[in-house]
Amino acid sequence: MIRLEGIEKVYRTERIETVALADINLEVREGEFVSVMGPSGCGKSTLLNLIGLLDTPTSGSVHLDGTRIDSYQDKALARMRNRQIGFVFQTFHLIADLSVVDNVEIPLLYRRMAASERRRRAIEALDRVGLASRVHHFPTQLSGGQQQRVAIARAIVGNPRILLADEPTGNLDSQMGHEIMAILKELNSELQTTVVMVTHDARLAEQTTRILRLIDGRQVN
Amino acid sequence: MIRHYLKLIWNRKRSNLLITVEIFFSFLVVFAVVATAAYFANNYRRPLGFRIDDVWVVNVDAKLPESMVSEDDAVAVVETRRQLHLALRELAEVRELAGAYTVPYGNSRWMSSTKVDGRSVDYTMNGVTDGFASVLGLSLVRGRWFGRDDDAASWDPVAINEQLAAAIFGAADPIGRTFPQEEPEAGGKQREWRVVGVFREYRQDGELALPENYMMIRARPDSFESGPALGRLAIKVRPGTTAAFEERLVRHMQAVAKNWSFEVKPAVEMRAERLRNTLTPLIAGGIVAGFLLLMVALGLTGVVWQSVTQRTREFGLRRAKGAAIPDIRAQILGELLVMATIAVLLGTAIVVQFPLLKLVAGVTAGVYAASLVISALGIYLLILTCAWYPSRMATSIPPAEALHYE
Repeated sequence: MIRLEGIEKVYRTERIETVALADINLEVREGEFVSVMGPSGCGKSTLLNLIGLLDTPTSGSVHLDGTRIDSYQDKALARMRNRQIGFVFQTFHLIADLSVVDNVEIPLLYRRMAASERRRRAIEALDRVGLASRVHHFPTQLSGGQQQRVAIARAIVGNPRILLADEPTGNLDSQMGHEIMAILKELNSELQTTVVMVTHDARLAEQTTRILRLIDGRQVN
Repeated sequence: MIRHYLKLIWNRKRSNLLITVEIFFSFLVVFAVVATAAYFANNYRRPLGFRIDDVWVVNVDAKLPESMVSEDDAVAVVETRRQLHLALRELAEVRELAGAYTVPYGNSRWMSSTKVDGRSVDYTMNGVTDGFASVLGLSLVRGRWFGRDDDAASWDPVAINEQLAAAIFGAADPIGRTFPQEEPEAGGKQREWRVVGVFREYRQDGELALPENYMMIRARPDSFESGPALGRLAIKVRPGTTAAFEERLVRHMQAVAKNWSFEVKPAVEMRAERLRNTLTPLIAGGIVAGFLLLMVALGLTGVVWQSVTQRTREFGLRRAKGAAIPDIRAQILGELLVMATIAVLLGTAIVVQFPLLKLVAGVTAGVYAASLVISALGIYLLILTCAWYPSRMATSIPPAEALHYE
């Protein structure tokens, strides 16, 4: 489903050149739950950004369903991100000035869809993560775990085939972390959503079908 | 999407209030400038009513004493005036000649009013000799101009413009009809004006002035009472007459009236002077308003830039969720346009009070409407200009970087 070939990502400033990823070859099959582990700064988030088309590789290629997609123009990339990929971030990235349901609706704003349909799907997504009673709350009125559940609802509201989670439990206590992990596992098993999750937590990684380890930007077998 | 913008704007009302207020005041400034310009442009395209090509104006000062003039002096003045007119007609360059209380672009103004069916009608009047219409090319639409045929008349013949005719007589034919002169002094007899002709228009103050009710009364060079009416001479000279004629003209007049003084000026110069005097403060005001708008534009750009910078992560998130670069730019511009629309609507609510309450005389509803539309478009253009660069900046950062922007 997702294939990365010979990926290299180098960040350059005037004086310094930092190799974030080198020689990454990776294949994620449909319905897999892959966790990416490694020490801080080893390139885990960079890898997730490349898979999620939020960034472009310095060299190498990203393929989805056999089609090379990293060279697509902005509009096509945006459409892929909107239709195929859902993101969950460590810091939630909820818009503080919008209510829970309005936050969840965001991906649907970029599709041709009636407002009533958007609202119905957003409430359905919130119901799936157990937050149907908080639709009109604002993010600041929720706990960290609840905010991350809103972020998951936002990620799945468009029925993406791939869910990318960048340390989704990193800002949560272990109880909350396990709740989030349970939701991700449920999405993977029930909806067959392919999940790629960056984590530092070995106990969470052990619950996934495959662990990918990175050290200094390189894959470790 | 508009509903989404409205929600965001409302939920960020405190930070958006400043921008909206700024746009509101900008709109009022733009409206004031545009309405003033539209008012003058509207006046400019109306018929002037006269032609000043090859017309020269002479200011005549007969040096009359401020106290009562003796009968002998009056007779002498009338005789000198008659000789002056005869002498001027002898000059080859002079085609036509007329005396007047005031001339186009002159600074004098003679106001009066009359009572018609219990209501007061104000008008500007001018005392002119018979050749005035011919010198200035006034076009009569009805009746005739007054002339020697009226010498023996027992009434006072006048020519009025169409606007005054409509104000006094409505749709009726005004020729031969009379209307009362100003209230007589105690015990005096109420005199009347009798309309002998109607001319299309006569905008004494020129192209930028509003059309007004206007009346010309007959002044006779052989009557001392008509003295004030001959304080100005309007001379139609032959085409191609050079400025050198001015000196000869003055010398010629001085030879006839040794103690009088004369000041000669081509009417086109008077026109230029009048336009300059009217337009200079307007241009100065326009420049001040322009700088004000420039300050507003810079301020607005800064505010939008700051707002966009603060929202970098939000835009990164939106791109991660499927927004393309044009979507982000459209959002930034859309939010500002919504705020601009709120400001313009508030401004319009204030501006429409002017025609409704008739706060400024002479400005038509059409001028207000056109000014409103132009000002609103101007504000939208200003907003789009101010938001264009920040909106590009907002999308110049890749989404992965934008999500971690500090």
